[in-house]
Amino acid sequence: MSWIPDVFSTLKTWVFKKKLLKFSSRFRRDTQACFYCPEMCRFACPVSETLRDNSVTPRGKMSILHWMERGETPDKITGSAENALWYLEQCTGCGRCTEYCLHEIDVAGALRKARKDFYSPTLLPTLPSIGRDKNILFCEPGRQNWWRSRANLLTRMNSPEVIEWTGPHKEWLQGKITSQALASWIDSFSDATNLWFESAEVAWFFLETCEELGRPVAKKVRLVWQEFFKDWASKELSATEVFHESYHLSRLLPRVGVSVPMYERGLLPQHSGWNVIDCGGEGFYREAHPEKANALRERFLNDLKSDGRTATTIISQSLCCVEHLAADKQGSVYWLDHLFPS
Amino acid sequence: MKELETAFGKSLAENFSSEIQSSGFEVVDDLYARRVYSKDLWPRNLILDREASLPNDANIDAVVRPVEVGQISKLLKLANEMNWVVIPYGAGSSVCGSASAPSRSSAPKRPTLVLDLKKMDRIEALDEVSMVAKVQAGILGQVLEENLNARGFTMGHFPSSIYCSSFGGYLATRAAGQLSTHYGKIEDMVLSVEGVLPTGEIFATPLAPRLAVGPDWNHVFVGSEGTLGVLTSAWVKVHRSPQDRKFLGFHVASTPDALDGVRKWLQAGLRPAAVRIYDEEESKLLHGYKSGVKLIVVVEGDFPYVDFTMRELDKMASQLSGWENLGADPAEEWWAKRYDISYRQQQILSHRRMILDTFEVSTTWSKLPQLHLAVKAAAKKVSEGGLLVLLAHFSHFYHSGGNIYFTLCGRNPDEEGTEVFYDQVWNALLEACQEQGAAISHHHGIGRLKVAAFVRSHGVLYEALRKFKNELDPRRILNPENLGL
Ligand SMILES: Cc1cc2nc3c(=O)[nH]c(=O)nc-3n(C[C@H](O)[C@H](O)[C@H](O)COP(=O)(O)OP(=O)(O)OC[C@H]3O[C@@H](n4cnc5c(N)ncnc54)[C@H](O)[C@@H]3O)c2cc1C
Ligand code: SF4
Ligand code: SF4
Repeated sequence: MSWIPDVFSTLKTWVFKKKLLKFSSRFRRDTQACFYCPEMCRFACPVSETLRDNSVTPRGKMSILHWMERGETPDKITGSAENALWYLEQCTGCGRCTEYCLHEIDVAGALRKARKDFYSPTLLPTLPSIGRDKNILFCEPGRQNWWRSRANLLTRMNSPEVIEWTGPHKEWLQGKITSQALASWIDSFSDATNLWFESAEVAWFFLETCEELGRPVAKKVRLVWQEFFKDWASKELSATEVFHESYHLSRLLPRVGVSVPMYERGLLPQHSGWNVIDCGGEGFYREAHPEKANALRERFLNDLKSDGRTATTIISQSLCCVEHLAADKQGSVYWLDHLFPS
Repeated sequence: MKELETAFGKSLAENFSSEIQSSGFEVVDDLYARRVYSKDLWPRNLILDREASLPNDANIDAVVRPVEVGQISKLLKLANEMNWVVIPYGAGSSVCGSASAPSRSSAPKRPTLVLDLKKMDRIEALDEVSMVAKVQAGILGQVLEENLNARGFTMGHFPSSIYCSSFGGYLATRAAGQLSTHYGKIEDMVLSVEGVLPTGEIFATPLAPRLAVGPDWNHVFVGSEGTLGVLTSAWVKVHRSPQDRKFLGFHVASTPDALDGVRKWLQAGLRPAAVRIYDEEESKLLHGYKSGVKLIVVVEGDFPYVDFTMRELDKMASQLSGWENLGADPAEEWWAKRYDISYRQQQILSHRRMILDTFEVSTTWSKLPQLHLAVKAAAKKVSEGGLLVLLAHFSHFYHSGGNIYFTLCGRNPDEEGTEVFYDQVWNALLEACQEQGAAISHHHGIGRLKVAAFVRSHGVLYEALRKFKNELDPRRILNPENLGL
């Protein structure tokens, strides 16, 4: 009966080859995948790249979560729960790891969720009471008058009502509130035809929350600047100008159905044909770790310099980035007014 | 930066307080950083991590990040005084454990620190006339390449790990990039290295296009895997960015037929940037070929060079029997995904009892086909009772020979002790390779993985090397046990 083990072994080898060498449809999308990965996304992470620190790479951070899933405590893994949180916070939320991961693991999302788990979910936001409307433009705080004096731009959006964004996105990014708390507030927009957002980061927050809660408003979300820029930005911006944009978010938005064709793939200035800088150090990260966010800014501006391109004019749509970049002396920082005089 | 946590970290920081204040010098000693920096990407580490629970402590005591060479000199002098172990660390992508600290249970407990060089990451100079650049050790491969590209140059060094490995790591491991057939390996690119000896003296080898002034120190330090000195920067050749790149693909009847044709190309003096032959099994399993083997070619350089090389490759191939020209597509596909292949690792390694690794060997043309068969036969033998698949491709070629890059993937027949199975497989493959008189590593290096075979292959020269190491590093502070030293 010596052929039996033979056949069995051939069969085993066949199954082995078929199942284990051809993983076409069984890619893992969890913390375990990062744990065993040679981490080809590493250079994309602005934090690990700037700090030159192997322990804060996307894989470095995901490995903490993996050990926790295997039943180890934050204390044992990192020395204390505070230390574990410190590591999870070494992340701007920029999403480049998610973008660069071939397995489409949403590392940025997993880290954000993990941060939330570490915070208390009891803090509830003060939600703005906003009536229903057919067309709303959420502008950045303090920008209402700017918008109202630009009727020509508003006409192109079907004259929406302009409302300053006071939504709880920072609290949400900091993990201080759960998405559930936002459900009824989000429902109050269900009648809107279009929700225009000035900040891509805020739009991302909104979409992500809708998706998490299974709310159908995603299709109504539109990005003002993306919409305007795609017609003319490449013609208008000269080579000495730097357009700062939430590049990373523009890479994430297509995943929830918003297309952003104008953005080029760019990391450091020399990665793209555009003079794009994207330090990633904005939003939550800037608030939680200002020194490091500044280090990111310096690094990216220096890269730009070493590439022979001085940032003479920086145009940004994000209030946070304007503040952040204005501290650098090398160029003037504009908040889009430069492009759209009233 | 985080607060220092251990007594060792604090005393280290005290010694370097002025450096910490006046430059970006860092000392880090919290548990998680120490865990991460005790390891590199040696698959054996991952297997142990997978099958065991988390140990209570890490194998190292602190990580330091210097910003300039004088700080390294001071650190090494202090380490000699205090009897500390220092492990130079680039990006930790070694796959042989050469940047993994020895386990605390096997080694005498000396305070151990990892010297992370990534903060020294500038291109210090670019001499466009001589086409040479002075590059600091800690820059990541991809960042270096992009910075050179922005100025119209390329280094031509493209390891698959380019996103997660450093320039100093390339020097220290004698690395080879995917386009090495045209641009050369790291040792062909280096003109001069600068660094610090284990006892703290700063050195620099002369910068010249070629020289005859005794033994070549560059070749002593390049490939020393962190055991003979800390490399801080090097002058390397750069090239103008290529004007043109073209692709070719072939279906060839068998591996020996393919090797024979590529040998004829190389010996006729042709230097395509990359030639890759996937053996029958790899062509079938990973590329869906029913029979025969896949061969792809990339040619790059200035327009006349590319035209000439393409024409000659094509002409010679048309005279070979068993070769069918498939056009540019297969090579273009590889080009688009040339850094992706390693992603399969996580799929396999996350399963209990599974092992996965790569094994790259080299020999002369006349022995290549036999080496291929012998290593495959050894794999078959060692896998009796278990399961082991050995795929192979040939990816670097020379006038006198080439390399074979084996991917081994297996399953431990026993529930426990997968690392023992891993070691058995490695020993059998290394022995088979040595029986054929081949080199046991073409570019990954030795590390802690291949020490026994390394010692065997060096014969009396191993003893000589050990004495040399002891002279240079009498207290054995620099990466001890690596390379068996
Ligand atoms: C997915 C993947 C693909 C790979 N592909 C290739 C490939 O195509 N070609 C190739 O050659 N290799 C490849 N490797 C192996 C690895 O990337 C190389 O060995 C690389 O050169 C290591 O660089 P590193 O900066 O990561 O070094 P590390 O892993 O940090 O260190 C490696 C060794 O060099 C020493 N060292 C590092 N920096 C210095 C320094 N400045 N001075 C002195 N000693 C130092 C360390 O002590 C250690 O002994 C691959 C690895 C992976 C994970
Ligand atoms: S995000 Fe993707 S590429 Fe990065 S470590 Fe995780 S699995 Fe690997
Ligand atoms: S989201 Fe950005 S900062 Fe955070 S881990 Fe990913 S790449 Fe790094």
